[in-house]
Amino acid sequence: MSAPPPDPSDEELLRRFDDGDADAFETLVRRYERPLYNFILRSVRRRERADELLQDVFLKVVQRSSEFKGNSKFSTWLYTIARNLCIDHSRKMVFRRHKSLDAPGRSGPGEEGPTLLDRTAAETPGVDRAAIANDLRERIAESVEELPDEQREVFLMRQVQGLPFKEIAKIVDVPENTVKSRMRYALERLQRALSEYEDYVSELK
Amino acid sequence: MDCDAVTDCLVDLLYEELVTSEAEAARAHLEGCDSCSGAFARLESGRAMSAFLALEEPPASVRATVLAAARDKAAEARPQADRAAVGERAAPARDDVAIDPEDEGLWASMLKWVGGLAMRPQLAMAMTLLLMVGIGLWYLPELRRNDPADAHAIVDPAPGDEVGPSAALAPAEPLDLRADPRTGRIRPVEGDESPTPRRPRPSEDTATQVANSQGGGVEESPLPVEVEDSDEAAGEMVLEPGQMAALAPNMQDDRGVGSVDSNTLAARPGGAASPGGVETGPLPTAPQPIPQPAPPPAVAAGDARYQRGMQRYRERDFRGAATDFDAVLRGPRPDTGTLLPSALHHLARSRRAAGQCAAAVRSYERLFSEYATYSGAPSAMIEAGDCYRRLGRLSDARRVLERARSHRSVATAAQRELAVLAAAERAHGSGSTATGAAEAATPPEREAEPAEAAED
Repeated sequence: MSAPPPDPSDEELLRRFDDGDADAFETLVRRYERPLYNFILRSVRRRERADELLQDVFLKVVQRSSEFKGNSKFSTWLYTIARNLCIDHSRKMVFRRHKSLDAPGRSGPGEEGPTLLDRTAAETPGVDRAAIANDLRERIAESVEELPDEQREVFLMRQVQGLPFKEIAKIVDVPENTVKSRMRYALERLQRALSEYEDYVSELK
Repeated sequence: MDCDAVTDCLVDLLYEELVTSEAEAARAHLEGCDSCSGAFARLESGRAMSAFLALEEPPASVRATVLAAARDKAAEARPQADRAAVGERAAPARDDVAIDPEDEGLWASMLKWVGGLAMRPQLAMAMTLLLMVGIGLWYLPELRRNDPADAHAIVDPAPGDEVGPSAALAPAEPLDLRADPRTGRIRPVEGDESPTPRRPRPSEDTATQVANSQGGGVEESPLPVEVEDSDEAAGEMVLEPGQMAALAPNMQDDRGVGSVDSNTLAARPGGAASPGGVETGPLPTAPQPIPQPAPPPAVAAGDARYQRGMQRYRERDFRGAATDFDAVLRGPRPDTGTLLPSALHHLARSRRAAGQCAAAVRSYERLFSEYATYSGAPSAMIEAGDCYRRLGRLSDARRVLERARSHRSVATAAQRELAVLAAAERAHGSGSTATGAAEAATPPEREAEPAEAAED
């Protein structure tokens, strides 16, 4: 029995789309929409705006597909477009909302709740591990959004999309070592912001 | 591998992107170094927690809209191919023309090729550009060729006109330079002023002038309003435009590895030295500043904001200064690459001076990550080390001060700060190498987040 044919590369799919194959483009969209959406969402922090920007990114790819020459990877091109749109958006923003990393854990929109420490120290027995996991997911999303822009974009491209540092360096137009420094700073900040969850995470290993 | 080398490759080690030999050497170092192993453990922890970042699903409506647009475009692309194919299969029959099937196919394929070219705007633009260059190359010699009549023309100078070098080339008045006994800085002294240098007016801000006059200057900190313990002025001189270029070879010694110093050499055609060379004796006469075109209005606004920030900093209005520098960083990016790192550095300094060390370290970290080759980085490291220490982040303080110590310009200051840090570590019972335990024992400084500045 012969092995199934390998999945076509992104560049091949785009070329097919240029030749009139709409299904090829749909494959590209399905490959990238989720990580790209999360990159945009964590950058602009507004869901409705992220929806618009995601659409804008893909529409630009549709319009400019013939301009892609294959000198770089498709993912580099795609994320460069997305990043540029996010930068344009942030420049229009006058105010940015900052939250302290010491803010107590939130149990809902606009509500303040006890911190993890308070909850684990509570007299009520049986700490709910699922609740801790939910807390961690919320807190890490907040912490990622509070990273400096240049650290956040590197972190997201690596963590969410899995782009190599070399490719990220091309997208953000800085040396690769600078990208790695930013990634290190980002991870250190996240570790500091979420240090109270370290024991929980290590238990899961 | 030493600590610096291992620190530089920790991320590669974390993501398993080191070659085997390097990975083994790095891991061997980690086993014997508490500081580096602690740093690596923190990265591992950060990465582990990052895995909990939930990925949201995009709305289905976006995909629907995008795919509809894609199908429309794909449909437009298909008829061209379809028409070409139809042309190959069945052309209208003509009794008076014998149609050779082979020619028909060739014609159709040529049509398709030309049609494809016509749909590529880049090709059209490239052809237009080539045409323009060609015309220019052909026409330029025509412009340069002198009219035979002009070669023989004798132009009599108007009465009273000078004949000789233009007055604009006359050397400027030599500057009287004196060293400030308090700070050791070399400053020009004008007119009848006393030896105590006056603070430059906002329009004479040296850093901006250097950046403007030399098209991308070295970041030099202005005269600070306070004498800081970190001895930030070590190795730095505040100079007027032009003097920087004259001192370029001397200043290069104080730069760290990879520092940006292109302005001083770039100001001199041919690079390394002026035709007359740079003397090591008394400072030469300041050469004429290179006139620069006026920056775009948006960039000029950022420049003005930067200068206002510097003025406020000198007046010890650190919060106001931070507001201005923050606005510069949010504004449109200037053409020169010097304003932003300088603004970011001064934002960090302003926050530090205002007692907002937590905010200051964020600015320092951004400075180090975004402008790794910034020439003021060694001084910034000293300042960041001080902030880390005040926040109780002793291992971070040690890390950044040890890196600063490798820069000759601030080595003495770094050593002094390390001695202060060692005393702090002893006081917390952590010994000569700070670990995370020392930080945990020392509650970090809590301070309010600085109020976000609204742009004017």
